[in-house]
Amino acid sequence: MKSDDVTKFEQVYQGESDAIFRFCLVRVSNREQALDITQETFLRMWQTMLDGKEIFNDRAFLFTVARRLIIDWYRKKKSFSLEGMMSQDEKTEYDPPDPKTEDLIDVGAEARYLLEKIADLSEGYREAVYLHHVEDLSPGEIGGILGISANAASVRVNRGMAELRKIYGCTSEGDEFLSHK
Amino acid sequence: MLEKGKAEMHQVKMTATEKGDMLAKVLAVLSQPGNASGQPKKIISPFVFMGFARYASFLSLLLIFFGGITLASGHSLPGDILYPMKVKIIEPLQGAFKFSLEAEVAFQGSLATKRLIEAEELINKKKFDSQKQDELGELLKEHTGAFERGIAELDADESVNENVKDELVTDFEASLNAHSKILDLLHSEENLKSGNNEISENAKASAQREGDKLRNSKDKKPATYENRKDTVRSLIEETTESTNTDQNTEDRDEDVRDTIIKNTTKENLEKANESLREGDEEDQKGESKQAYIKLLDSESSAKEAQILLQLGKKFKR
Repeated sequence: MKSDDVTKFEQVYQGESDAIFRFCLVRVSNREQALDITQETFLRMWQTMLDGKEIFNDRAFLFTVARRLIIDWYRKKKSFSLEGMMSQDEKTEYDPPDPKTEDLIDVGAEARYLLEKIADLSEGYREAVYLHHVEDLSPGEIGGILGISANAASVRVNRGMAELRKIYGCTSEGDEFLSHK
Repeated sequence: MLEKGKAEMHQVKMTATEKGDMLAKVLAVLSQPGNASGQPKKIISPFVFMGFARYASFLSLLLIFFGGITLASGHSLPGDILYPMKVKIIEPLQGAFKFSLEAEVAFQGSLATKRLIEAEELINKKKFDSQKQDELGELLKEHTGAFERGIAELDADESVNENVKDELVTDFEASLNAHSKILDLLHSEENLKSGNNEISENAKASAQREGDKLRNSKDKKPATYENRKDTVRSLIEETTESTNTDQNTEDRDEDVRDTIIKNTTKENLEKANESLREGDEEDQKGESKQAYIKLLDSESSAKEAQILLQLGKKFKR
């Protein structure tokens, strides 16, 4: 273990842990579970660093790991439930954010409204819009996380943001929000 | 408005204690015996047991039974039927699964905080009496004692990362001091006649003891001093921003309790800023030990402010 590694890891942890926790919490709707997944995400990063493997983009790496852990968690959760045991339908890979999430996260009215509207977006756009708009990730990073090309991610972000602005009552990027009441 | 929603989303964060505990646990993996070579020890995923589908129904039944009891007892308070089970069985069992000394120490610190939160809830529900105060006081002594012994053991172990220990102590200090202040406030609001608020007095004394020991053990600033300072500065800025946002968005009919908590939060932020400034001055004078002690003061005050800010929202009437 080198002290440089510890310092670097601490820097990344201090900078990104809240974003990863937020990403997990919005999806699993359970604070304890979100903390568990966040911890596991950083443990995986730690192990990767100790293995001497280079991480080119810390943020993209962390979001990718967290996203996979969340998908695993949903799969295990389904297979563990009676419904999951009875059903042969395995097509659901990633559940949309739980509509009840906003009741469980202590956020203001605008954030709650934003979460609701992101959940209303077409399935393919939700994650791209969340990662771009809320967490400021670039299309290249989003592409890496979702396993698609940067161009495809850019298309999803642009179309999703256009849809979101439409829902919000804006006609173009610079337009003021009209009203959501 | 899209931007406002985004700004509000960014207020969703881990608490300072959660953040510190998690970092300590993750870093602790390296400090475990057999890991000195840098080879990571295999970490058991919390999801591993869920993979055995064929045992699913059996495990489901067990989980429903024990999970239900554990969950129900998790929210129990002194005086509830399930509370003895929570503090005598479930929590010690959880402690037994902490596989490093750092994680065990962090766990004892979190239990001490939990006892203070339980006292706050009891007062808030007007169910606090001298018997419950004694019960919580005894438990608090056990946890703070275990925390202090654990820190002493970490002190003796040279392989332990100094930052981890400092984090553990400043988290402990901040959390106990913040909750003690809230407890004192609730105590005085209710005009409780159960004598001095022994629980908060003991908590503050333990926090002070550990804080003093940590500061006395320093002889110079560590290599990570500048990074740590940046982190503290960010914490102060974020908490100040959140405090200001709350002030702009909240309604005007705030009561005395809100005002006191907000003022205490601000005082802590001012103290954190002042200590940071004094630390810089000491550093310029070449007083490396004093500079680091001031940084620890600042870190502790900033963390305390962050906890108070969260508690202010929780106890908003």
